[in-house]
This record gives sequence, structure tokens and C-alpha cells, in this order.
Amino acid sequence: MGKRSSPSRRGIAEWLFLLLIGGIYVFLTLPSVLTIPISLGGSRSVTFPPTEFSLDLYRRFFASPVWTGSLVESLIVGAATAVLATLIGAFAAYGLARGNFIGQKLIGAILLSPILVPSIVIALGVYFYFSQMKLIGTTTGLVLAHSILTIPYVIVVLLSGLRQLDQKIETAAGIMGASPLRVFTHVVVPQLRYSLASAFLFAFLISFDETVISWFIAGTHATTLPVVMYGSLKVEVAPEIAAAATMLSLTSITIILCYAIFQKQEKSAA
Amino acid sequence: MNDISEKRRRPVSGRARIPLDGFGFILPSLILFAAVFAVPIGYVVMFSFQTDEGASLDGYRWILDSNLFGRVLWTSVQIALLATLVSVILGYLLALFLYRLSPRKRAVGLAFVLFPFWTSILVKSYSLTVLLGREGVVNSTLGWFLGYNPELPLIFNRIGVLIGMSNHLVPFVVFPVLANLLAQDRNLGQAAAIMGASPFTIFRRVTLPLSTPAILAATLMCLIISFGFFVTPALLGGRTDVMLANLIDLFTRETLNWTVASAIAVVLLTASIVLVLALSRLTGQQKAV
Amino acid sequence: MTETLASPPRWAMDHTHPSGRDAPAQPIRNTMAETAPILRMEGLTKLYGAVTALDNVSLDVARGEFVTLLGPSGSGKTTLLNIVSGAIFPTSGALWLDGRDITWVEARRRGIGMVFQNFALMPHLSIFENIAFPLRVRKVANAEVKERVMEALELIRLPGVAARKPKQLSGGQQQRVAIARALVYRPPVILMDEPLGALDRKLRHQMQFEIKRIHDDLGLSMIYVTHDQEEALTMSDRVCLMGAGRIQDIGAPQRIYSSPATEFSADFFGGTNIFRATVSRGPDGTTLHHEVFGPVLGPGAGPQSGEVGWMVRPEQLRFLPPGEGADNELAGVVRDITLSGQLTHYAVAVSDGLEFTVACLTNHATRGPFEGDQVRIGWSRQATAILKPTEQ
Repeated sequence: MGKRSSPSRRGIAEWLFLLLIGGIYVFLTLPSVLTIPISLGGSRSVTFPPTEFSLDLYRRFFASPVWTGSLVESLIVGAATAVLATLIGAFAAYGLARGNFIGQKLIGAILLSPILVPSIVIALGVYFYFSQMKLIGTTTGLVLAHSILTIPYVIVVLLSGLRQLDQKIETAAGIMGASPLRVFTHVVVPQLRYSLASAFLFAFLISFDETVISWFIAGTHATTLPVVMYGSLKVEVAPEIAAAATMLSLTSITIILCYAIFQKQEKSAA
Repeated sequence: MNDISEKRRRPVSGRARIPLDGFGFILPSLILFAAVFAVPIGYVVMFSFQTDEGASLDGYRWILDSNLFGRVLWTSVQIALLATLVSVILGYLLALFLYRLSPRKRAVGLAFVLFPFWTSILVKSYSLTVLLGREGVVNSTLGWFLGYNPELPLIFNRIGVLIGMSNHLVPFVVFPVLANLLAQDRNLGQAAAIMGASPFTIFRRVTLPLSTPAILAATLMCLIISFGFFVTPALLGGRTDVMLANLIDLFTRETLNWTVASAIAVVLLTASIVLVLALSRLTGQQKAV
Repeated sequence: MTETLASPPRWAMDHTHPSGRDAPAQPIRNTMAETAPILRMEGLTKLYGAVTALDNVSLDVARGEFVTLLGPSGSGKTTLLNIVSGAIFPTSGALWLDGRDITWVEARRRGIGMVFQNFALMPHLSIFENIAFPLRVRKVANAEVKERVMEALELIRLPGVAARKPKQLSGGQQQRVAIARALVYRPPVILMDEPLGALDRKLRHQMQFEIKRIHDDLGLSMIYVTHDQEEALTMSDRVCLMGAGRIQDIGAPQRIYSSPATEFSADFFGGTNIFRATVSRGPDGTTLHHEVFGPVLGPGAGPQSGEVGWMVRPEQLRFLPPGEGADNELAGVVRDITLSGQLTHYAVAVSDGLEFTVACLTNHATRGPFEGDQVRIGWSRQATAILKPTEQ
């Protein structure tokens, strides 16, 4: 008779591997969460582990007009960018997925290219151009620039969502006399609500976190949280940075959670 | 709009008809891109060929002559290659681990990769300054074990930059490699085992060769991103760790030499385009297979 | 009990059903004295939580035997195959290969060969390297590798494809390569998991012939899994019919088809003309007392008493011309006629809503009965098959 238990002993190699993986995970996630405990450590010494628990940093953050102003601006720009990018991106995704026009592949590549173009190049160009157009240091300028950056992500998310749809429904609507625009707004968009919500969230998050381009085109009146943070980090390590960083992190967490919830809703609705 | 299946329909009448179905949908984005993307990039290219006196190649001439540029370019290449190497190794290991998990556990494992992926690089770089400093977490913890603070120089140098960049790049490796591993036919591993192959042999002769396209794609992806790094080398690097993006920033804001800044940007853009084309050819080949 | 011999070839035990009956001829060898089985399975059970995938299955495979595990999906046949291959381990029970207990031995140390439904060829290796894979794992010298691979290619009649990649070959060719790969290291047993499922019908027939030829030429022991009864009946020395995790019936193709042992078995191979009755046994043989038909004469061997199922195969019923008799006769009316190629099926209503299906070779001159005709159907007592009810 053989052994009673199945041969699933883990060798030393297996445990070492798991240890290594654990290490990689710590390496990967620690920098993303570290700011949370730091920011709760009070303003006397910005260290980890924190020596005390205090919301002092947050108090200082919200007391400072510069920091608070940048937070507000980031929220506004983020929301506006998300709206603009989702709107334009949705139309673009639909046109790319269902259309048949000259240069379709090329246009698709162009619309997706900002992901792969180094943001410093875009930053520089936008800086030159906006200087001429007097858009430096304006909310409009920030929104426009951020939209370019986020539209590709919106398109990718929506293209994937469009692929799941049953095209025959759209064809049927067309046969019944609906114009392409009407098919889009009345047939496609309702089916895409979870993809649209996800795309909106991603656009917001990307805009909220965006540093490089904003660094170039922000001004005294319209500047974003990452820009103030970056400037602060280069010059002196202002303790409020920890609070700012935590807020950025928490925004990421919230959005990922929302996205996960949407995925679940979508699956149960399907 | 026409059904996709009718894409290659020939015109019925004698006149040639340029297909324009759905063009209206992409028009707004095209306009936006033309205004806020194409034009700015056009400016960059244009300015690279222009100085205060007028059209000139001075910008490029300077680049070719400059020691500074040569050094920064070499630094960028070095850092990009090194960071890519480290990230691909770490990312591949992580993907292997996730691939062998049950779907439920894998979702959890992926969540812990997605979270840093979606965290702002500014936040991560800031955390690393706290972690890697002389009095930072790493040195303090080591000090606690060793009895004295070893004061390892982990920041404001090459190591700091590499740590920061790898930290950001690893998720970009995990996703394509994991997708490849999950797509591999499970029967292949089982067949190999039945034929007598050890788990290591199966990895070496089946899993690894089949994952090569994903490794290549991940490598190219990392290189593309690495060349554009700005925040990380600025915050975590020392004076010898200036990368191309930082150099552009220097020339734009401090030296106010827009010509040279543009020229460097054009070089960076060209390098990226070459890498992107390589990547698209690679993934295009994959699809054909 | 002795069984008369009919057609010769080589193979071993016939697990005759305990209820016994005059089974059509199968050769028998005294297995215990002569050759031990190459593979022994005893009491194999596999539980997945509350689900019983395999319930106390025991089976011996003789050397050189071609055994087919046949059954619908969920019957346990794939689970059993996976336990033999080492992909999963049983909850209880044991497994011996050539006398060696391999119940808990990992797959790669069993030395078994396996062919998969989707071929499982390494897409990045040439055909030569694919077949050579198990030899390279065993560190066989290059010269010998070359010799044996080319030999295997000859065997599957594809000598010219060595340098190509799997995707350049057709489905049938890929499957032959998969077979060559399983043979090249001469395993004692080869497992086949629905290998022809991915091929189209005509190709499947050709491949059945190929596999049988290779089996006969090399004298291999094979365990073949399929849900296709035609395939099982054509190729096997013995068919092991499985259902609900148990062996429902096992025996030579002819026996299992014409004299199924259980209701499950009868039903699986085309379940018509299945009824229930109480059985009794007299000096001449068994009699089934059906509440509507009355006494029906059954075969010589059978249980003494009790409730049983019974059936007659449609092709063993015939229409009796006036004046002719048979062991069993019933009068009825032809309700429906269905032509399906070589056979024509007649639904004959007998009484009380009960029907028999009669299958005759299609009568092109159409002399045969028409719809609405009064007919008499008859069959010999040997054609009555007594069925053990399916265990629940």
C-alpha cells in the first residue's frame, strides 16, 4: 500500500521561491502604502515608524491655501478631463470599432499613441504651444493637455467593452430606421455603462496623478497637487507632502475598488 | 454604418467612393488631437531647427558635440537597460507565481500588483525617499538587526534610481507574461510530465520557450517607458543620474535654450518611435501565429 | 462454466456477468496461471466534496489488450484515466502497473504513454524533436534517438515530416505524431483520451483503423476513452461501459451489445424494447412473466426469481409470415415506419400503449409491412436479454 497522504510536500526550493515572491511583493507594494502611516505620524518628525498618532499634517495641509488650492484644482481638472475624455473617447472608440473609413488603422494608431510617446515630449510641445496661446497656468490648458493623455486609455477600455456587445442589436436598430448617432446613444451607450464608468474613473485618476505635463504648464493660479508636491520635494521636504501623497494614494485605492465593484456588477448583469 | 463584414465591398456604381462611415464619430477626437497633440509636437520639431536668428541646425550640432548630452544619453541607455533587466526578472518570477495559483487566489495576487500599478509615481518616489535615506526605514531596520546603522547609500545615486524604476516597471512585465502563461495549453505540461520530464525540465523546455514572445514584448515596453522617466531620476538620483527627460527640463526652464531642448526631445521621440515600431511588429507577428 | 470458442485472437478474461447467460463465443484463457494483468485497479474511488466521481471501480487490463472506457460525460471514465495517468490521485483504492504499486507515484515516474484529444504537441519544436522529447528526457544518445524517431515516423506512415512544425500538419497527421510520441519510449500501457474527438467523421474512421493496426502490429496494451459507442465497438477487445462513476457493464463488444447485462447498458446502446417483468427459471430455461405480454421465453441461464429488466434488440425481431412461429410471438399493428439508410425501423404497437421497435434491412422492393398493417413479430428465446437494474 502506498502512503496515505498525497505527495505534496514542498521542497526547500519551493519555500525559498515563496520567500522570494514575498520579498518582491513587499518591494512592490510598500512604497505605495507607506505614506499612509507616515502622514498619520504628526509633524514633529516625518519618519517611519511614526512616533505618535496625529492628524497634524492634515491640519497643516488644509490650512495652507497653496496645498488646498492645488487639491481643489486637481479635483476640478480631473473631473473636467474625465468628462471630456470619456465623451470624446467614447465616440472615437465607437467609430474605430464599427466604422469603415479611409485611414482607419492609422487614425486608430494616432489616437492611441500618447500612451507610448514620452510625456516629456508632449509636455515640451504643449508648453511651447500654450505659451503662444496664453494657456499657460490656466485650468483650460490643463484640461486640454490631460485629455490628450487620457483619451487613449478611455478608447482602450471602451474598445474592449464594445467587443463584448452583440452587434446584431445595432444592425437591427439600423434596419428599423435609426441613424448611426441614435444607435450609438440609445443602443450602445446604455449597454456600455460599466465600461464608461470605468473609463471615467481611469481618466480621472490619470489626470489626478499626472505630474510631468502639469509641471510644465501649471501656473500660480492653476496648479495641481502633484506639481506642488514635486516642487516641494525638490526644494525642501515639507511635511505636508506626506498628507498630499496619502490623498493621492487613497484616491487610487478608491477608484480601484469602484472599478472592481463595477466589474462585479457587470458580470452579474450579463 | 455598414456591417464590418461588408468592409471590402466594391462600389456598385462606376464612381469610386471613399469610405467614410463613422468618420463623424472620430472627428472630434481628431480635431482635439490635431490641436493639442500634433501641433505641439510639430512645435517641438520646428523649434529644434530654429534659433533666435532663424532656421539652423545649431541645436543638433550642439548635441553631437556636447559631452553633456553624450553622457546623459549613455546614462539613460544604461539605466534603461539595467532597470528593464531587473524588472523583467522580478516580473517574470511574479507572473510564474500567479500562474500557478487557483483563479481566486490569483485575483487577490493580481490586486496587489494592480494597486502599485495605479499609484502615482510621485507617491512611490516620495515613499522611497523615506525608505532609502541614511536614516530611512531600510537602514534603520538593518541597524536594529546589526546593532549599528550601516548607512547604506541607497538614494541620490544609481541604486536609488534603479530601485524606483524597477518598482514602477514590474507590473508592466507581469501582465503580458501572465497572459502568455495562462494561454499556454495545460495539456503540454501534463504530456511532458507523463513522458517523464521533471518540473524544472518542463519549465526549461516548454514553458520558458513558449513565453519568449511575452518576455520580448515586456522588455520593449519597459525600455519605452524607461526612456521617458522624469520624476524618478529627479527625486532619487544623484548628479550622475540625469536622464534625457531631466536634461530637457534643464534646458527649458533653467538655461531657457528651447532649441537644444527641442532637439533632445526629437532624439528621444525618434528612439521611442523605433522601439514602438519594433513592439508592434512583434505583437503583430504573435497574432499571425 | 465453459464458453465455446468462436473467433480466435489473443486476449484474456471475460468478466462474465454473475447472472450468467449464454454469451456468444469468446475465447478464454486461464489468466491466473498464464499471464498476470499489466494493469490492476482495485476499489478506486474519487470524491470531490459531496460529488462521487468514481465509486469503487476495479478493473484488470491484460497484456496486449485494447480496453475502451465508454460512457456519457460525467460517467467517470475520464476521472479513471486521469488516476491511471497520475494527473489526480484517488480518494481510496490502489493501482498496480506490472506488479508495481503506483497509486501514489507521480506521473512522470510511471512510465506510461498518453495521447490527448487536442494532441498536446509542443508548438515550438519540430516534429522530430516532439517525438524525441521523451527520449531526450531519458538522456538517450543522439544516434539512438534518431533511429527510434525515424522508426516511429515509419510506423505512423509519415516519414517525411520530421523537419516541420506541428501547425504545418493536418489534424489527423498531428494525432499520428502524438501517437508516435507516446510509442517511441515503449511504455507498457498507452492511454488515449478521446483522441479522435477533434477530427471530422471520415478522418475518424481512417484513424480508428490506423490505431487498431498499430495496436495489433505492436501488441500494445491500451486504455481508450470515448463516448462514441461505434468507435468502442469497432476497436476494442473489451468494452467497459461506465456510468455514474461505476462500471455498468464490461465485456467483448459483441456480447455487450447483443446481450447487455444492465438496463444502463441496454439503454446506452440504443434503448428500445426495454421492459420489466418477474423472472422464474425452469428446466428449459428462464421465463419472464410480463403483466401485459404474458410469459416470454428467455435464455437458458438467468436468475431463479425476482424483478428484472429485459430487452430484445430491434434487429433480432422479425415479422412472422403466416404459418411461421417463433419462441416468442406477439401480435400488433404497424404504427410508424422510419427509413434510416440501411435499416428501416418499424414502430409496432402491441397492446396497452406498449410498443416494440423492429429493425429490418431496408427492403427496396417494398414487400414489407406498411403503416396500419396487422403483423406478428417474433424472436428466439436466446435473443431475450435479462438486465440487471441500474444501481442508483
